[in-house]
Amino acid sequence: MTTDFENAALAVLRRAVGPSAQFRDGQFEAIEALVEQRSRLLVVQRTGWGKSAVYFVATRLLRDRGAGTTIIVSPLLALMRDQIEAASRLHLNAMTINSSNKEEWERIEQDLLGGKVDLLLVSPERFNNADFRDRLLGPLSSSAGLLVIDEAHCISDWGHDFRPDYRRLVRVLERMPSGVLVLCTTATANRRVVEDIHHQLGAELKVIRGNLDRESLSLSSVRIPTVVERLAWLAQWIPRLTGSGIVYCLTVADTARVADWLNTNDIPAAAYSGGRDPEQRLAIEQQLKANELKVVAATSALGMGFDKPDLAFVIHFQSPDSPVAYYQQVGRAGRAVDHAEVVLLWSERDEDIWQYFLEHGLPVQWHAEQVVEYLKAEADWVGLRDIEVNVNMPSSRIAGLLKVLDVEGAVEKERSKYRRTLRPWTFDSARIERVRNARLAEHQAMRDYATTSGCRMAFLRNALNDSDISSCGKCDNCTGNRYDRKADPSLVGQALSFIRRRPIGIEPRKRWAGHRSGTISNLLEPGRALCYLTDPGWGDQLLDAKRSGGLLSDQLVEAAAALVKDWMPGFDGIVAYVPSIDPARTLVPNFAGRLARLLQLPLSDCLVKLRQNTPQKLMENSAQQLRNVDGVFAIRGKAPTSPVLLIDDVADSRWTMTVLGDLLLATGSGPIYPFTVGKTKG
Amino acid sequence: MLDEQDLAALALTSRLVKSAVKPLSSREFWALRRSVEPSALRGTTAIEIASELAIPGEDAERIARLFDRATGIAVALETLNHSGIWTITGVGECYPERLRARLHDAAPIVLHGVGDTSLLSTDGVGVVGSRDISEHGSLIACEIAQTAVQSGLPVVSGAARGVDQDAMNAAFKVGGQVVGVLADSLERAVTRPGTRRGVAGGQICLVTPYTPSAPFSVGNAMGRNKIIYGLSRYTIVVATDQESGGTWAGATEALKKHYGRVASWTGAGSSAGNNALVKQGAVELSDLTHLDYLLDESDVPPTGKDEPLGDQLALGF
Repeated sequence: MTTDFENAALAVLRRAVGPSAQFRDGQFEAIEALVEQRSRLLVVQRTGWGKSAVYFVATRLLRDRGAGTTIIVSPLLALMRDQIEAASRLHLNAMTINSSNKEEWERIEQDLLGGKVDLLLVSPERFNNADFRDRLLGPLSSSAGLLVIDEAHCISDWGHDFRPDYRRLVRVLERMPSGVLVLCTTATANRRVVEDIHHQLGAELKVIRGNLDRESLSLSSVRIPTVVERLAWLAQWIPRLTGSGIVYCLTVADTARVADWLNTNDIPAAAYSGGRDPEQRLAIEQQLKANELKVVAATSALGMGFDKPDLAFVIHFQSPDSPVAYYQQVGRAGRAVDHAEVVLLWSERDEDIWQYFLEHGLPVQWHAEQVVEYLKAEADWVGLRDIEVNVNMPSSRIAGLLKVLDVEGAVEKERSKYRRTLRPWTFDSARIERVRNARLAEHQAMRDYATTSGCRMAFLRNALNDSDISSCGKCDNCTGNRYDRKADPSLVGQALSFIRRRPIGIEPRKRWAGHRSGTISNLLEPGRALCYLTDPGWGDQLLDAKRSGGLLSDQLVEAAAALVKDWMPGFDGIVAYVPSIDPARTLVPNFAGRLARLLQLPLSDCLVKLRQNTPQKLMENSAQQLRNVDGVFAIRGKAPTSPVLLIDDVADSRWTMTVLGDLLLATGSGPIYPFTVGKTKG
Repeated sequence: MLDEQDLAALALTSRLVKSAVKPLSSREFWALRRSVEPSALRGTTAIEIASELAIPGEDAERIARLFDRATGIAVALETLNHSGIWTITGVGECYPERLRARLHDAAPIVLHGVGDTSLLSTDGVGVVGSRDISEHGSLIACEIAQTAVQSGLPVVSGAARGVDQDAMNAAFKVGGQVVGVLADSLERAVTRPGTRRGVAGGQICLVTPYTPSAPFSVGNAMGRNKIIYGLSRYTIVVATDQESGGTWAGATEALKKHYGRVASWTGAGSSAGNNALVKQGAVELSDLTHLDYLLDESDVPPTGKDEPLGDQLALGF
């Protein structure tokens, strides 16, 4: 028996999707809870279940009853484009306000005021933007509508996804009386996340949970200790897989490395990360969708909102640090095909990267207090640059920290300036500790996943507190079919020489920082490094030598010489090096001397250090780093007039090189080519 | 933390967000609350409200429409809260009890402010007077403020030019606490670094019954006077014109409606207005050495006189 309401809802759905459409499990229940019972609702359903059908149909029915605009807060801009299209099929007028459509804001605002907008999609960042709120408030106030919070697991401290902007969203929710309709949706919420959302949204919250099984996936896990062997494994197995897929990497550098390696092996691949232009990213997504690429090597930036129903495989080049993140990423495969391969390549060394993410992802108490104290004393708007000059911590972390302090209400932001708010604030170390422990528990769960002998799908569903779990019958543990961990030795050899020959660039700095302002006129040339510090082989050797005060091996110096010859075949300048005051520190001069001999170039000791400074690695941001090395060096005797190969052991902040380059170029030397043994990962 | 009752009060009376219908005045809200706890009306239709309260349909419609503003108000409140501006309501716990007791239905439903809300209930010394003030008058204002600080009492004033500012600055300089009752532009007032440091250090509390972005208006300037009288154990009028100006109007209103105790300075430098105020019922203060005594005598705050209510609880709109 169907009710009038069910018929009405179904009619709306059919108008959009087709005359024989039916609601999927739980969809009608959710719509009824919102529209008829006026409940606050949390829907936990796997990706592809059709949550948008719920808020579209609910919005249509609510609007027909005179309700105001539905506001959808979602971090997924890509999704917004698709949704606006889908909404129009339901005769819903959907709009988005984001940084790319500023010229339309005024018209949208007018339409909102006129009640012509049915759905407004915004990102959480936009929702918190002061100017946006000023504009939005009028239209929002006239009549109440549904508020949809997408990816609602971000509300919870326990979520694997820490999105500061959701914390302000929670504070808005706390100020909404219980009668305001709220729909939270997520595909990944374990019991603790659900409890947390429950707590934030009030006891009356109704929860609808679906089954999280993904029947098409066949999960495997292979332990491979080294980067070289993993690359070889990819080259061996990917050509045997049908269709195209994603290779997830933990770092941006690895996406480039994997994509280049696959291309060298005639496997069409592209690298994708948050650092690339939006247009480039969109182009890569489209090429993957059209199967023009076999592989996209991507960081987690290729994530929520990317939908390719026939994605045939997902391989992890390193293990992600949480089963929830892992479930989300593998869940992109096999949505509309019967079978998809999912392989986790892992080793204990992946945990160094987890640790790095953990330490850099959480605010440090003394950093936070230092910044707040400084702003409190200023009691006025202060630019980022002044903060960098006055606070010794990495710029990258200052920006992240200010964002956290902003949403916590310790600091407010206006046109890229910051000010201490008038709210009392203390560092919430208990909360940070709680988040850290939750992360460590996720690390352990990921270790357990890699080594479990039980069903892998059951393991993941269990980690997400799914119910009715049974064995999948498809994973390596269920079937006993396992991938070889050893790849073809000739491929391993090729991968090794690929890694060693691969140019690692050192980008010249273009702008001064801190006490010196403006662009740098005496620019260095783009430079090269032999290896990343984290690379096995050269990287290990360099770190050992630095630690023990020893010298570098002949093999390494020969590799460096080969690289320079490859890089600049006809180079006929001189070799100079970054000087030290301590005569016991011979690594750099010794390396430069041996390299010069192999290259048959003159070695110059024209650069001298005038006084001992603090080790550069203790300086935490550009302003401090530049101040630490500026004026510390000089040129002895006559400056060279030829091109210079400038040698150092490690390229990190690049300020030492930049200051030396400025000195040399000012006296007429040049061009200057920096070359270092190691580079810290960027 | 604002609860459901606070949120209902805000939905019905706040001017933080635009509204298709006019928000309830203080009197209308307090009258409504005598019939029903307003938060109970949320989610009901205008027809239900009309029959429950036996009020005309259009009044019921107005209440129902005002509740529709909940989302906009939630966003506006969070925006203020984020910059450190708090919001309290007449039905909530942080609201100074004496304000409601003395002002009755004229008590503002919503207060916005910065600094420590507990300063509002600490029984301060009100200091008021004209914007244009003689050098001597300024001196008197400062001395009254310093005496208040020495007695451990905050100075309550309007933060306007003249007497208000002189008294507040004097108290602040000797390390005392001040409560500034603003008639406009709270948001702009808190942009000054000196003010921010004072708020952060616990010395300054600023409060306004109007929206934090409200521009200056004569009506609002008059409207906030009663709050100064209502918050203070004693309010001393340093200088006033006779029969004209905001200070005169505020003081005579406070005397007539018993918003608080009023003293008028009649010593050196005082004007005819101050003496006239004494004739209206203000206590005479001609010697600053008597101030201590005056403040000691008054530590039990008076309650205002109830305005007569009819037999029937009628809604005032």
